[in-house]
Amino acid sequence: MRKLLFVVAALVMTSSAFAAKYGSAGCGLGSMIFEGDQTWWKQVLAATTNGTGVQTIGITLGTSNCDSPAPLKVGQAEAYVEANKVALANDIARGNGETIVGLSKVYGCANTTDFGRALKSNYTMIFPTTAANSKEITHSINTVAATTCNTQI
Amino acid sequence: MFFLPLILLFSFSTVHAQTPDIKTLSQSTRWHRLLHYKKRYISGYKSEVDSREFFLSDNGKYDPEEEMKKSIELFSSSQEPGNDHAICRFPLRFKWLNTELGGPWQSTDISGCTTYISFFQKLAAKRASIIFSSYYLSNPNSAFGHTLLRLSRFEDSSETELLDYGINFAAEARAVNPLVYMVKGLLGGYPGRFNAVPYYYKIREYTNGEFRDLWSYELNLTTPQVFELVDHIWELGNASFDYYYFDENCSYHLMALLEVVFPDKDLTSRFRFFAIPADTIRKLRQEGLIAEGKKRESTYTRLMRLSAGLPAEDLKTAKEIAVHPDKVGEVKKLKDQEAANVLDVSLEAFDYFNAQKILTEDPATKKKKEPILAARAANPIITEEKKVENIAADSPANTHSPVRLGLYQGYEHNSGQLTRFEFRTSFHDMLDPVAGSLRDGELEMGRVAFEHIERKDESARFRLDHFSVFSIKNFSEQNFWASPLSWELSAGAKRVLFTCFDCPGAFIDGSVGNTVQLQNGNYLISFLMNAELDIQNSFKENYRVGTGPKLYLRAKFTDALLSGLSLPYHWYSYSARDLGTNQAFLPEWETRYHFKNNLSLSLRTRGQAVHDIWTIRGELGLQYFY
Repeated sequence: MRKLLFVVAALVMTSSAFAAKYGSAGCGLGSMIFEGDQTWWKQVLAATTNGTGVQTIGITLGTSNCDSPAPLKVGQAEAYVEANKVALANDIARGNGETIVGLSKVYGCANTTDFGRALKSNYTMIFPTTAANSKEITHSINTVAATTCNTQI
Repeated sequence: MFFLPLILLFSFSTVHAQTPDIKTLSQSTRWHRLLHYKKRYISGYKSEVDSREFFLSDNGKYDPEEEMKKSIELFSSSQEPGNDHAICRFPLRFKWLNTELGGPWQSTDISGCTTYISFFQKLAAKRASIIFSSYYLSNPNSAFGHTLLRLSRFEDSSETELLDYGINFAAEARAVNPLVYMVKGLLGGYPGRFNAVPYYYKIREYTNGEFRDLWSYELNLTTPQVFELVDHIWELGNASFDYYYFDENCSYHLMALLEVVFPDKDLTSRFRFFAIPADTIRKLRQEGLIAEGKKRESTYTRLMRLSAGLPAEDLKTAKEIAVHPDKVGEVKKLKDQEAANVLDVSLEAFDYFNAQKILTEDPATKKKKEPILAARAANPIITEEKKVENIAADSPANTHSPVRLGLYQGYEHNSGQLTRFEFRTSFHDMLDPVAGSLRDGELEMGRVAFEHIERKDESARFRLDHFSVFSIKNFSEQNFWASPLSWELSAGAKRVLFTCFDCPGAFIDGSVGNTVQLQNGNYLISFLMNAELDIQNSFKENYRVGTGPKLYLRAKFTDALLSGLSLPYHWYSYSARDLGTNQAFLPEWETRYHFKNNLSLSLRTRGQAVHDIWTIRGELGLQYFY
């Protein structure tokens, strides 16, 4: 009997180990959200699926946590920087990458390669410490874009 | 200002010579799709939308004609609708009806629909793609993968995905108990809704957080069709659907959404009982509705690719730096290009090792990473990003159909000739065609096999051979960067050894262990510890437990020829039927040749050895996927 208990316990434990990893991961049950799970993307999903009272008609376009639209104007760059901070630091350190292409579109830079190079050489100015917030980062990027891309900020 | 829906409103209103009667019009496919009506089994219709707000008439969920009459009445009620008006809430219905009825509302001014217009402009969609987020075996609830839509703002498709929006269908669950959650999910206890989020959140969630590759397939849509799609997404904003894990899931509802803009295609019939995400992608490809796919690498895939070209010495340095970033000075002894390669791998590896903390933006982790970033920024080399190549082999659009039928002819010594029938509802096992499916895993739901077998001195029998509710294997490899646990789990009913000849018992079978791969994954070897629980009334106390080691090998000689060998050895908690032993060796070997993606030949032998008494059977059969 003890053996049986062991096996059953092992199976139950494995399945609850999976359960602990439930995220908003995918299709089906996995895309559901657990209460009390505070990781940011679950909050985002929770916020966006909550159907707040603010907008009674139609689909939500992101609320509180996720109020940052994908940017199209320089004024919206901060939201983009905030959401892509990690990838952006990697890309700026390397001097190219997708986040730079995106920024280049937002700032209307004619030459993405030059923009990437300029950002790279200004890495320490843009990220003086890891604690730099997205407002400061965006401000520094504005300066680089102003000289490299001739963008009016 | 991107494009004005106002202009669009009248752009495709070819005025019909005579207006059709409402009864006929309300039976048209387009109307049914706009309201998600499906034929009921006996007679009549029912919409799959479960929220009251989606319908304008009281009985709209069940009555297409009444809903149309009410729509026409409401659409005629205002020349200058405001946000709460039916016209603003259901612009596509309005536009379509306006066209079909010969343009009765041509002079209606919808500029008062400000929330709709701002939604339209915010998305600014020019193109649309369907996205497949890869199989995720670590979470049984998204093991089959996931699909969503992406709306793109730029005509130019290169690297602008970060500026796009993702349209996701998901269930809103509020449950803490996973069991409640599972059961409710299966039975439709949660409402599902569409929502729009900046696509970069989806990238972070899937590729950086869960290491799942994302595949995108651009839909072959004209600009007016993209606008219709956006209009309908808007209409669905308030709609909720009861969410069912297997049939009415994300992939099903995306197909229903696409049916609205592809009026002459049937995209949902196939999926009424079972919608496997990859299968919906395959269907779209079959119908010619999507372009060649593009792959967005997960952090892990990228790490593997970047490190593939590096010498072993550099890899060691890269890993050392990723684990201890303050040792970044080690790259100083390298030439610039080599140092850049090492640092690129270190950055990726750091993100891989610390994925969860990076997602939550843990300050200490960010600080820890700083030396690598600074060193990389100081290194002058800018490496050209390599495009991900040759993805066809992995593309889920090329996956096989999930449903499989098998017919086998064989012989079992000690018994006689046998004929076996097998049916599987989904989706993939270790030897099925590899293209676009799970790489090193198995995910089967519902497989049943019956056989007709001759017996010595007795009449032939028809009996259940095997039934599994599910069978999941995750044999991810151990390598330089990762050491995941391999595991498998299955449950169902099967004939139980050492008991009566043909009585089935329930079983749960699980293993854990490690897997290594050789020659680019062509050879896979798993070392496992296995435990099995059998429940049947012929055992003392009605159950038996078997434990022991298990070795599993799979060889992929070509994409069409695969072979698998399973070697479990069990010690049972009881010896049964006075066999005098409680040990058994249960080898199984199968080789499969795939003629095509949907037709395979299987050669299989199974044995069982108790003491030195062997029972061996061999089978040859055909498998057909549909």
